[in-house]
Amino acid sequence: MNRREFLNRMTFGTLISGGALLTAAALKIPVPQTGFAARRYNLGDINKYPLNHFTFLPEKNIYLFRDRKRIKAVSAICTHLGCVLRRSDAGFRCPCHGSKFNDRGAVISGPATRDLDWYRVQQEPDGRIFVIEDQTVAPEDFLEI
Amino acid sequence: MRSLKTPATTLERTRAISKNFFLHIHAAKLDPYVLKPTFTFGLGVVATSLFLILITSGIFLLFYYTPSIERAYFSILDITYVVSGGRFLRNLHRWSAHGLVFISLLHLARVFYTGAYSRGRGLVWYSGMILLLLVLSFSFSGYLLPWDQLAFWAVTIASNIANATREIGVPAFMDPGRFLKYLLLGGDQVGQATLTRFFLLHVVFLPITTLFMLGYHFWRMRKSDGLNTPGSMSAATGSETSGDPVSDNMPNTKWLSWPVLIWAELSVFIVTLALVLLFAYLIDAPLRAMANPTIPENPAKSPWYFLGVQELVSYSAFSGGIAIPLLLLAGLFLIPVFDREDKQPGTWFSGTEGLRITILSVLFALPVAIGAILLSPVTAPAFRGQPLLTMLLNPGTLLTILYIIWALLLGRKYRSRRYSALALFTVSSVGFVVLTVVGIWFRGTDWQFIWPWGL
Repeated sequence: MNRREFLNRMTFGTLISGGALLTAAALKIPVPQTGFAARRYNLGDINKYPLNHFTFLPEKNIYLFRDRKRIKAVSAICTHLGCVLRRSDAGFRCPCHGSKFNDRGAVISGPATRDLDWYRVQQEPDGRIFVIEDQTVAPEDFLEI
Repeated sequence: MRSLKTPATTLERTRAISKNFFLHIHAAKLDPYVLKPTFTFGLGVVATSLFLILITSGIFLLFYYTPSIERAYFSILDITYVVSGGRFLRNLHRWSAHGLVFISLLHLARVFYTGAYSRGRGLVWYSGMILLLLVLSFSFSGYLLPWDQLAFWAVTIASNIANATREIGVPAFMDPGRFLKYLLLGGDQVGQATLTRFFLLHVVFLPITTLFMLGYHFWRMRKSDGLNTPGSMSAATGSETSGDPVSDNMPNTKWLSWPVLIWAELSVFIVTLALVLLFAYLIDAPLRAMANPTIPENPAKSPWYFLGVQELVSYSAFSGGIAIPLLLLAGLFLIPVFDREDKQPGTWFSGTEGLRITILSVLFALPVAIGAILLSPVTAPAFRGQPLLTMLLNPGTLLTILYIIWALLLGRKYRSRRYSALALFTVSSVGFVVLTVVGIWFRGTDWQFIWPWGL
């Protein structure tokens, strides 16, 4: 290899490998390393939620249902494209694309194809009640109190 | 003061064009056919004028706008109610933006129907398509900035549309939709990071990219000897001229661009400016309530040019939000590859046979589109709990398939790819318009059908 060949190879080698590294970095930088915080909410005094009724918790985007003995919590986010559902007579409806769900969170009419998520509601030994969004449960799984 | 003198001779007029930095994007001579108003309707010049108006009004808005989720909405209120002339500037910016989307679509249709992409003008077409995407990105990034209800929910929905790729089971680490969602949002939901990114896109990245692409678009036109007219002599690859306007061997039937073309363009610019100024003076740009992440408006509607897609998305997130729009874009991009017939370029619809096919296609597409949309209340509950059927069998996919079959049949009957392209472009446009009209006027609370006159 003569000097010219060596320099040529060095030049293009540096350009190509440097370019590849920079491209990889440029693709990586804008994507945040989002660690998702554990999503647990203390419900506080449950007597403030009316009986036999789905109560919307605006900060959490969930609907909380409570009767005399049981509590359960369902996601208020449409499984289609993430709009917040509103309560209707027989379930939930999406104001953005018209999906319908019943009281069990099951799809009655598309475009949504997945049923709503029900979250685990759990009572701590000290009596406080939490909604745990990281754990989904079947619609029949109430917290008995 | 030499430059102020009106050029008198042919040589001086040619030099006025070729020596001036701003004028040299024009060829020194033009085919008089170009000036026929019904040939181009001046749409390209109107679009460029609107872009210039947008840049100017945008710079002034930047003096007061603050890209923070606490301040953004109130800075828009300040611009509207406190800043002198602020409301007028914002109106001007908003209406020019809507106008630019509308005119760009019309320009696309004009260029397609007059076959202006043929005879080696593929690169003009491709750069034009990229410009259309840039215009849409401008609008999309621009309407997050006021941080009102429209902004928040439109971007939430759009980012989830991108992420609808998970419906077809792409693993998360190599899912392009998921990557795009996080790239745009800077997190898993719309927040400060999103506003910062959209602001950056809107005022830095997109303007620079658009200016370069616009320059390229003009330069390719210049190298192709201007517009594609019936009498245009350049061969399929003959875009190479010496660049010297005096020595270029041009037919004597051509006119000098200075002063006729320059004055024609200037008058189109002035009319455009006058119209948007009038609009901005008479009609105020809307501003919804401040963004509320817990309650969307009902119905939550995107701006008019995305309502066709919103209607499609209300059938299925993946096929309506990703597959069909991508198919449409790919089809538009590939037109110069698909049709190389050079059938009567510069003539609307490539002549009377083409016009007949276009009219037939409208008559076919209109009832089919309306029929398909009326099917939606039937298909939506019918396929509940069956993601695959919802994705594959809905009014959107039905329309797409019928339209493609129509274009293939016509192409076969006439043994012409140009006629096939004419049919496909026409039926797609009609479908797009019908979906948009339904989205604007026939959808109400909970995205259910309503009559616009409120029966």
